[in-house]
Amino acid sequence: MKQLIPATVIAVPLLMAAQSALADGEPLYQQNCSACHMTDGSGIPGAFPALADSDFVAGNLEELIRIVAYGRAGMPSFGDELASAELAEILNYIRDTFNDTPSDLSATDVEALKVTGTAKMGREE
Amino acid sequence: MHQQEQTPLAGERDSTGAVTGLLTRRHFLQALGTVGGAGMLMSGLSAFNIGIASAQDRPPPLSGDANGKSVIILGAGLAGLVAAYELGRQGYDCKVLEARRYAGGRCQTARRGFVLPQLGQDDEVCDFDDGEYFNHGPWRIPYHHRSTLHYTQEFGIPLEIFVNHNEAAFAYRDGGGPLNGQPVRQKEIIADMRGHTAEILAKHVDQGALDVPLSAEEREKFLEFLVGEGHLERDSLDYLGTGGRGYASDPGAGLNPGEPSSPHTLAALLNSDLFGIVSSVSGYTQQKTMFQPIGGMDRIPKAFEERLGDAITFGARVTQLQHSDDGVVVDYLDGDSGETRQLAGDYCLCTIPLSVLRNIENDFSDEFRSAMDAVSYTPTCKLALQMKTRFWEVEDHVFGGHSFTHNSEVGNISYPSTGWQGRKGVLQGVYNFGANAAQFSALPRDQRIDKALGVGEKIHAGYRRDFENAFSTAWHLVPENLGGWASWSDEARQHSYPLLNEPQGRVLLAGEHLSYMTGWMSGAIESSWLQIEKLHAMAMAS
Ligand SMILES: Cc1cc2nc3c(=O)[nH]c(=O)nc-3n(C[C@H](O)[C@H](O)[C@H](O)COP(=O)(O)OP(=O)(O)OC[C@H]3O[C@@H](n4cnc5c(N)ncnc54)[C@H](O)[C@@H]3O)c2cc1C
Repeated sequence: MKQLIPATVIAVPLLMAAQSALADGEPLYQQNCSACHMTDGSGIPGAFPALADSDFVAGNLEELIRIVAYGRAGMPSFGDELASAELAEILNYIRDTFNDTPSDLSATDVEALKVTGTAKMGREE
Repeated sequence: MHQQEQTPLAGERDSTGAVTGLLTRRHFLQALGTVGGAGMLMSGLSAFNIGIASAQDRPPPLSGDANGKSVIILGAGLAGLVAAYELGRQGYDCKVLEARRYAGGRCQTARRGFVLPQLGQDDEVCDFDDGEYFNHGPWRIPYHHRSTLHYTQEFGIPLEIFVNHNEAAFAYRDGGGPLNGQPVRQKEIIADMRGHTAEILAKHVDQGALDVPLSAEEREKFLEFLVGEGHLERDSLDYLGTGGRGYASDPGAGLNPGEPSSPHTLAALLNSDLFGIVSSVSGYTQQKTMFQPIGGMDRIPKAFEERLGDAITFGARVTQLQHSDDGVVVDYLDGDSGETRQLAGDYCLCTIPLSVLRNIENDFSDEFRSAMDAVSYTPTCKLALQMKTRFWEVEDHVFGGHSFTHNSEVGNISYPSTGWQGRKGVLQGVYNFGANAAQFSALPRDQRIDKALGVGEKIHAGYRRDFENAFSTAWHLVPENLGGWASWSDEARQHSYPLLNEPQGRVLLAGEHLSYMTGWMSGAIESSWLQIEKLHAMAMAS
C-alpha cells in the first residue's frame, strides 16, 4: 500500500498525480457505479450502501480494494472486468470527493490484492 | 442426493453390436474414464443422476404425517412455490409471504400493462401490443433440466421449442478485418472454419506429417472423418465450399441448379475474429433441445399459484425474522394496510435472495451472517424491442436463434421462438452482464434504446425503421432481487456456502443461490427439494 501518509503531508507532485487520477475517476465512477450507488454516492437505503460519508470507504484500503475486485454482500466483482488502474482511480475518487479522504492508490496496489478467486460473473455452465 | 434408484445401466454395446450385459455403476464409470476422458465421465455421471446435470427429476418422497405443523415460506419465487406445493401435499400448514403482487419471483413475463419498478429509475411499463410478450427473466429450459420439466409435465404446461441455435442468423464484428463491419451468416463461418481445419489436418495425415501414431486402418478412418467433417474433395482433400454454407443463388425449378457460394479464406476468418462463434452453443446448458412454455415463462408460477389457493399472501414485505427453539416469528409490512404484521410458525423456509435478505433484520449467528455476505450477485440487463414487422423472418429469413454482435455493451440479439410469420414480434435486443450491465443501466432510457438499435441496424436494415417500443430491465435494480443471480467465488463456495445449506435453528434457506446451477430455475427447484427434505426430517424428529 502506498497510501499510508496522511493527506496533509503529501508533497506537491504526488498531489498532482492524485488529481490527474481524479480526472478519470469521476467518469469511471459515473459509468460503472452510479446506477446503484447514485451519482452523488448517496446510495439507496436498504439496497445499496452510501459511499459518501462512509466509514468503510474512508477506512481500510485493503478491504475496499477487496470488495470492488471480488464482490461481497451482493456487490458484484469488478476485478475481472475493469483494469486495475481504473479500479484504483474509482477508489481514489470516492474517497476524496465523497469522503474528504484522499488516497493515491495505483494499479499496483490493486494488483497486489487481486489474487485468484474472483467470483464468476457468469452462470455455472 | 436422495431417492436415486441404483439402477444398473444396461450394458454398452461391444464392437459387434451385442449388448455386453449389465454393468455396475462403478465399472461403468471406470470404463468411461479410461475410454473417453473427463468429458465422457461427466456425461456418464449424469446418466446416473449424480453429475453436474440437473441431478434430480422428482421431488423427495416425504414419509410420515406432518400433523398440520406450520411452515412460513418467505418468497413466492420458484423455490418458495415448490416448497409450499410439496409440503402442503404432505399435510403441512404452509403460509407464503410474498413482497410482490404476483407469484414467480424472477420467473416473470412482460405483457401490455405490466409494470416493473427499478431502483433509481422510473417504473418500466410494458407497452407491447396485446398478444405480444417478453420473458425478461428466465427464457429457456435445457432438455436436461429435469426438475423444471417435472413441473411443466405435472401441471400440463404446453411447451414449444426454444431455438437456441440458428446457423442462418448472423455474426457481426466491428474492426479492421476483411469480414468486419458487415453481417455474415453463421453457417458460412461454421462451414468454412470446419472445412479449412479439416483440410489442413487431412493433408497432414495424408502426407504422414502428423506426429500422432495411427495404424494404417486408423489413418484411413480418420481421413474419412475429416473428409466428411469438412466436406472436402475426396481426392485432392481441398475444401472448396459446401452447400451447408449457403448458395450464391438458391437451387430452383426447371433449369436452375443454383449457384454455389465460395468460401471465405481462413486468413479472412481469423483476421476478422469471427471463429469464436463456431463453439458458441456447444456448452452443456446451451445444447439442443431447449423449450419454452407457450405464452410465457410465467405459465409455470401461475400453475403453482392455481394449486396453492390462498396460501400465498401478496404484498407482504418481510422486515424481520426471529427464531427460537420452538418456533419462528416473522414481521412483515402489509401492502394493503401499510401496517406491520407478525406471523408465527413452527418452521421457516426463506427463499429471499441473499442480496436482499442481508438487509432484513434477523437473529442468525454471526458466522451465518458473514457466510451470507460472502456471495456476490451478477448485474444483468435485458432490453426487448417490439418491431412492427418481423423483418428478420420476412427480409432476412432468420427464424429464431441469436445473432452474435461481438458487442459486450449490448450483447447478442435473440429472435422470438414463437409467433412465426405473424405480423409483429418482440426481439431481445440486449442481454448483458457484469460491468457492462452496470454501465448500461446507468444510461438514460432513450440512450439504452438507441445503443440497442445502433447495434441491430448494422445487421438488419429494418431494425431502426420498424422499432415501436421497448421494455428495459436491469435486474440489479429490481428491489426484490438486487442482482440477476448469485455468483460464488471458489473461496466462498468452500468456506461459506456449505453453512448456508444448514439450518439456523428452525430456519432453512433455499433458492438458486444454494445450488451449483445458479441462474437457472432448476437450481431454485432442486435447492427447494433438498431443503424441504431436511425440514421434514427435523419436523419428524421433534
Ligand atoms: C435475466 C435472467 C435470465 C435467466 N434465464 C434463465 C433461463 O433461461 N432458464 C432458467 O432456467 N433460469 C434462468 N434464470 C434464472 C431463474 O430465473 C432463477 O434461478 C429462479 O427463477 C430463481 O428462483 P428463486 O425462487 O431462487 O428466487 P426468486 O425468483 O428471486 O424468488 C424470491 C422471491 O422472494 C421475494 N422477496 C424478496 N424480498 C422479499 C421480502 N422482503 N419479503 C417477501 N418476499 C420477498 C421476491 O419477490 C421473489 O418472489 C434467469 C434469471 C435472470 C435474472
